[in-house]
Amino acid sequence: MIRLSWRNIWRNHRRTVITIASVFFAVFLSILMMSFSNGSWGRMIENMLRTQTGHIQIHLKGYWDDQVTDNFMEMEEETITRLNGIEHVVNVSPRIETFAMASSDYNMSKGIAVVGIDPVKEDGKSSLSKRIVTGSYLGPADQGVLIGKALSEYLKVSVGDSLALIGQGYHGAGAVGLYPIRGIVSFITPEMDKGLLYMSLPAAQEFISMPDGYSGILIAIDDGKALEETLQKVSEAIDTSVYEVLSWKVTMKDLLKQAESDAAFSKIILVVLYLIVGFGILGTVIMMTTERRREFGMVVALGMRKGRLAGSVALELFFMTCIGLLAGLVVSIPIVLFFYYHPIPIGGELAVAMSAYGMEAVIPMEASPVLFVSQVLIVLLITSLTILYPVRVILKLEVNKALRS
Amino acid sequence: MSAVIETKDLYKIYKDQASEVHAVDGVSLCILQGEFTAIVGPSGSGKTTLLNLIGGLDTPTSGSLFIEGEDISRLSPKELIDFRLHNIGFIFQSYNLIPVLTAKENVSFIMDMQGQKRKEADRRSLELLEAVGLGERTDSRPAKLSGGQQQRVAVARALASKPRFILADEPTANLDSKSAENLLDMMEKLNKQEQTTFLFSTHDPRIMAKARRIITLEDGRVVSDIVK
Ligand SMILES: Nc1ncnc2c1ncn2[C@@H]1O[C@H](COP(=O)(O)OP(=O)(O)OP(=O)(O)O)[C@@H](O)[C@H]1O
Ligand SMILES: [Mg+2]
Repeated sequence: MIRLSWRNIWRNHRRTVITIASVFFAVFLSILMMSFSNGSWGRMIENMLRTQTGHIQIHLKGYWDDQVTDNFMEMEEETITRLNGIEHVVNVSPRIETFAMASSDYNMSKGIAVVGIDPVKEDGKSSLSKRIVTGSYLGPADQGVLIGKALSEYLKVSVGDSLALIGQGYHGAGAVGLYPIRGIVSFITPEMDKGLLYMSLPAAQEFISMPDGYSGILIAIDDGKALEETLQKVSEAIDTSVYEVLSWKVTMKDLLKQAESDAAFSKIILVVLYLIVGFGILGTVIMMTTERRREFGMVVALGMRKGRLAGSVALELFFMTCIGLLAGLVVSIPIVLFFYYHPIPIGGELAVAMSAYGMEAVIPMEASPVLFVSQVLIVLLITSLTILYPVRVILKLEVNKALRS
Repeated sequence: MSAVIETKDLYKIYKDQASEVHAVDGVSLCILQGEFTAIVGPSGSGKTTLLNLIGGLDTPTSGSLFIEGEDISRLSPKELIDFRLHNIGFIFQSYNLIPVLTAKENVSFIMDMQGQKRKEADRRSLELLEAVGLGERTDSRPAKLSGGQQQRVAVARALASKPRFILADEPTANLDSKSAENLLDMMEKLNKQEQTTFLFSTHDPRIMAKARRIITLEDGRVVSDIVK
């Protein structure tokens, strides 16, 4: 019986090759595509979170919905230290994000974002100092500032000049100050380049008249998969009646949406691929069934039960599917693993920009067993569906008609 | 001698919107153990239809059919398939064999389905192929055999299941006259040796001449039944 099915596979080489090749390409292309798509987005998001926004943010309750100075927070040093000790946490950065009007001696002014950072920590995670084009980086409690290149051009200022900042201080206090420019930074996004100013955290706290204030605390973790459990532990470590703990899925909603729509697009392409492959296999299966109708009639006439015959034909298709699946896996797994360990380098300006942000300039592939298993299961499902056609034909076969055909 | 096949008022009527074809029109027959019978008649006289009814490949419009006293119209479709496997040998006009199996495998295939031991099935296949004069070609696939040789394999296969009787619908129709006569001689020899009942249809007068009983059909009716 198994022998019969096995032999039947090889009776029509062209058909067999088409079927096996269809399965092969379905598995191969879908694995490569999913691995690439998941991998590049995964890495991009991880990069972004690790170097910029953090995976988890802590704010005063209500800040996220109303981001004003009066909603700034304070936190004891000891609590911050405790956060640092949580498993998977690699970086806890308190910072200040506020707005101010910046004006230069040349009567140029512009609304900008003011970001107060711990210069040492910030450099550790996003390599900010590497992006200085002129001037120098900030000292730990520096009273000077760093600004984007485009902003410096707009305000017609350069290193050594001073900027006057006017903003909103804590609890109605005015925020005013004159700050010497220490360095000019080049950012990749034009928005940041045109409208961002960095100062040290102590200087920023003084500016808003809130000596221990932060707009929020950014927490980066070492493993994206540990997000939920770390969120839980962070929430347990602080007083959640005072603070809100937000995951990047909330703070970076747009990025998440973009990643999801990109993933949805990949899935649509995948479905199209499955349809093409599915109908390709179905076509050969229908041809095979029609050609062998008389033979089916003959063996049922001789005394083979229809169920058994259907089983043997199903086994044939199953063998072919397995050959295609194995071939697909044998070829795609090494490729995926290779690019997982040796990610594709990105060339050109983007690469320079990415490494300037402390990111690795590569497109990695995702190599998760879930990916392989799910693609194998989907392809098995597709071929199982095409098997239904000959099975149905055989079960409904009228022997005398099949014999006369 | 006991009756192997007995039909009583067997009818098979095909109905169109317009017309009614009485393919088998009230046939009552009795085929005895060990007979070598030809069913003859012009094209469209109902030979194939009658053989299909007897072989349980088709169901009669009315009438009854007994195989060794058992009313096979009572069997469920599944039981009918098993009944064929164990009781009836079939030789078709052409494309009798499974193309991907060798001559020997085609013969043992039926014994495999019957659940016989592989070794015993192999032994008997070789013996039967020897008997039909194909001892040398046991490992050839059907495509490598001539039409006459293929029909001999089919005869060997029909005998392999040790059936009560063998049905052959125009087994020689696709053969040249020399191979046709050889095949008939061989069938007759096996009929005598193994006491297997044969019922076959034919157009060919020279083949008819080899039968010991000739049943003539016309428009689905038995018009003559001669025992030599
Ligand atoms: N499925 C069917 N539907 C309608 N009519 C049919 C069907 N099968 C057979 N017939 C008709 O029944 C009659 C008997 O056909 P059958 O094939 O039994 O004749 P036959 O004697 O075997 O002919 P031949 O010598 O050509 O093989 C013919 O008139 C045929 O057209
Ligand atoms: Mg006929």
